[in-house]
Amino acid sequence: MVSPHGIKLAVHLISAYFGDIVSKVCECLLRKGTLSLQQVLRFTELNKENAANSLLVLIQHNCVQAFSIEQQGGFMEQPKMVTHYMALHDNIIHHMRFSKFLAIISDEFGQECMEIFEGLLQHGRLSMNQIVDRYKDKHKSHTSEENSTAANVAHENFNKLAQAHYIERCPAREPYLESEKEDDTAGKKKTAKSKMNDPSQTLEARALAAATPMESIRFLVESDTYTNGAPDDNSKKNPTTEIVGEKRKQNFLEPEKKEILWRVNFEEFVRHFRHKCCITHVTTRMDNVAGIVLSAIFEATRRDETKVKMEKTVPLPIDRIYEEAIKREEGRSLSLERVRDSLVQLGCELPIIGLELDETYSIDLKKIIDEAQAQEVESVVLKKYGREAYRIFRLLLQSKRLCETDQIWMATFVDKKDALKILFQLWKDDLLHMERVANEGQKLESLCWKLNKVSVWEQVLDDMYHAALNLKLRLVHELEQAKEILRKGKSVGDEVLAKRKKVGEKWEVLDSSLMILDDAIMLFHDF
Amino acid sequence: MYAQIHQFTITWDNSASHHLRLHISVEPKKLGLQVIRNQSASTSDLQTLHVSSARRRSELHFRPPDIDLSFIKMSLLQKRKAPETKPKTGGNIAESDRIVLNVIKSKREMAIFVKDLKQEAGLPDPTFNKSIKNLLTSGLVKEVAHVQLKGRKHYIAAEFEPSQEITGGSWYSKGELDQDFINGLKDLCLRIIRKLKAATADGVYDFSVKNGLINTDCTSQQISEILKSMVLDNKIIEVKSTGLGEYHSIPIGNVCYRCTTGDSAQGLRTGAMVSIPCGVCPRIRECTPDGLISPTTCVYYTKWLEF
Repeated sequence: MVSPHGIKLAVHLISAYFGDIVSKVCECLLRKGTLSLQQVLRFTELNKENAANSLLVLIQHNCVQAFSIEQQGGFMEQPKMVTHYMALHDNIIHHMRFSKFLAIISDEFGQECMEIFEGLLQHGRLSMNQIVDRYKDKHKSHTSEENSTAANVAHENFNKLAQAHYIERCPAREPYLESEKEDDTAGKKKTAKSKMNDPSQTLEARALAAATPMESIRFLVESDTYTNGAPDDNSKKNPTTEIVGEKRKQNFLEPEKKEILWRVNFEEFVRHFRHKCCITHVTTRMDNVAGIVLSAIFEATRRDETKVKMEKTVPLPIDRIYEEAIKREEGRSLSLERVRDSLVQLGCELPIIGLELDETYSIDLKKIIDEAQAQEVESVVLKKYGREAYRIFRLLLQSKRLCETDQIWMATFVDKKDALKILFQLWKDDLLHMERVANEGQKLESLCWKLNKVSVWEQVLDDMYHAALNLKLRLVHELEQAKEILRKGKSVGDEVLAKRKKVGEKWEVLDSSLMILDDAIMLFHDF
Repeated sequence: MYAQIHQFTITWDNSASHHLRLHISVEPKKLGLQVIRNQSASTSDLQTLHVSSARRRSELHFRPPDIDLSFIKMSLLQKRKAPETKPKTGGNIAESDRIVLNVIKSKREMAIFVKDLKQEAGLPDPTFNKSIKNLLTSGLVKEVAHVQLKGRKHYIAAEFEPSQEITGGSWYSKGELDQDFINGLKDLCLRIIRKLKAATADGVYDFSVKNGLINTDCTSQQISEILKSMVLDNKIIEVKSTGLGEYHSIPIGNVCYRCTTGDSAQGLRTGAMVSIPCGVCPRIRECTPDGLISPTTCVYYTKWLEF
């Protein structure tokens, strides 16, 4: 479930990129959940063409996933296939990270790869031929030889991006989901398709699982011939399929029917940022060597990670870790013993016997992420409520159970009166849970306090979305205010130039703050 | 088994627990086996024994033969004379005063809240007030500050010292948290941990005692409490010893403390939220794009973007 300000931010982003009509459809899907076209029309009160076009735009930019499901007909009616549309909130929010993605590609692969990648970001989904044509257009040449060289360069760079998993084949356009009734009857047969047909999962999760191409062909460039890899069960469709699905196929996708569409693989970027966050955290919390060791482990196990939110790193032998660590410039002088010390510092336990036999290590990443998240919230508490509140908050964060007021002020060396004031303030701001416990013996009622981490963390994430939206709105407002100054030509006085400079500085501050805040949003939502 | 006394001091602690503090430093090599076993594992050259008078018979297993203890008895006697100098509780006081005094005395070191006292004494208000005044003037009772119930008058008989529940223990002075003492101790512990790289609570305590860094009476338990609060302050971190590197002197698995490094050493890591106005805004819940409080009209934003 997306938080209220998460939805508001997503709607703002869509509105800024694709206009109000598309954002209206998107908001409808985000607020109401998965809907059919008819329902979208009813809720948005848009005409059919606008609504259908909006859905197409959203699908093209990977913000919406369609899937078809069989629905029971009315009295004396046959069951019919209905196309449903679901908004992909995470993918919408990724739109404000495009500059970060580009910076990574530029750093790792250089300008040429960045150009190809930029095209995918701008257009959402492109076939390889479209990418190559786009590249050739940009590097216009007079001779056919130069043209073919440009094509080769584009192919080469495209391969690089696919090999690094930064781009992937698009998911199936409209996977077919069996109804739950059918699942029950076919329960025994479930094997490979078990994930997409698992009735315990939500409909949305099943649709996403069904649409995702098989891992073996997800990044395969060679077999780019005629169809996407994921099961696309259009053949099973009933003739009564929703019109928009048909229309989309006819008008938009039909010319490219035989081509594989590619898109940016957001998952790989999230993994990249997660690794970076963990490395930064251990470097500041421990030392540089811990950062180098963790970075070496990530590098060596990058392809073995099965999902983004890995709780622990893939177990790796000490020799491999050491080998990878000394490959780095800053790790060249490291000894095996120092690497081993760092692994212990990172929470690994040394094998008690037989160091040489089976010395593999796995780092607890969840703990690192938890620490980083706690640090972010603690810094807010420290600045907003002061040092004593910070101490109390940390005590309650460590404690898994209810704590009495006396216990709290005694452990934190805060005066009782002040401690109570702080506790009530934190409780008022929904950071703490309070319970009154009656003490029969002393005829007193004591107050007990607890920090409900899950709800507080959700609240913090919502506040972050809210803050990001505010930064965006302020950015728009500042540019709006400076419109007149920016419109004027080059021949302007010093005063206007100074004002322009100031606007530029403001823009820079707001934009960089947004990027930093976005890191924190990812820390709480994606990691 | 006898040992040669290296250093020998005895102090009478009149303020808190009427305990005789006996500090005896002995050279360990000259101690008997029995004494050595009672010491915690320490690498210090000198072992320090810290024994209160109430426990000294059971814990002190050796006695130097060549020390005349008569002066100790003398000083003890002199100290014990102090309560006798207080006014006598003879038959000169009025009956109402006696009732009030008896109720106060019955509460011993726990003291009594003035309202409860009035209720238990069952005297009319003017008489009760007069009695309290008389008893205070004659020094038979005294008023004490209750650390948890500030502003509520509590009385205690002059011959009793208020209990730890009343005074708040050693962290309190005159009913107030002794912040200077606490902060001083925190600073000291931080410096010791920085020097030792990693240390247990006992290790910090031993180091401070060995080097005479603590002048006041301080126990290992208090050091432990201070260290735990420093962990909450993010000044130090609690870790388990691995027995390797800087932990080589600490047994594997023992809880010990070490300093934080980098940004977190300040405990003031700048988070993403706190670097923007919304992160600490008290009105964030009331802020909407078109509302009275909005990011476009926000005064905090305006101030933030003024440079």
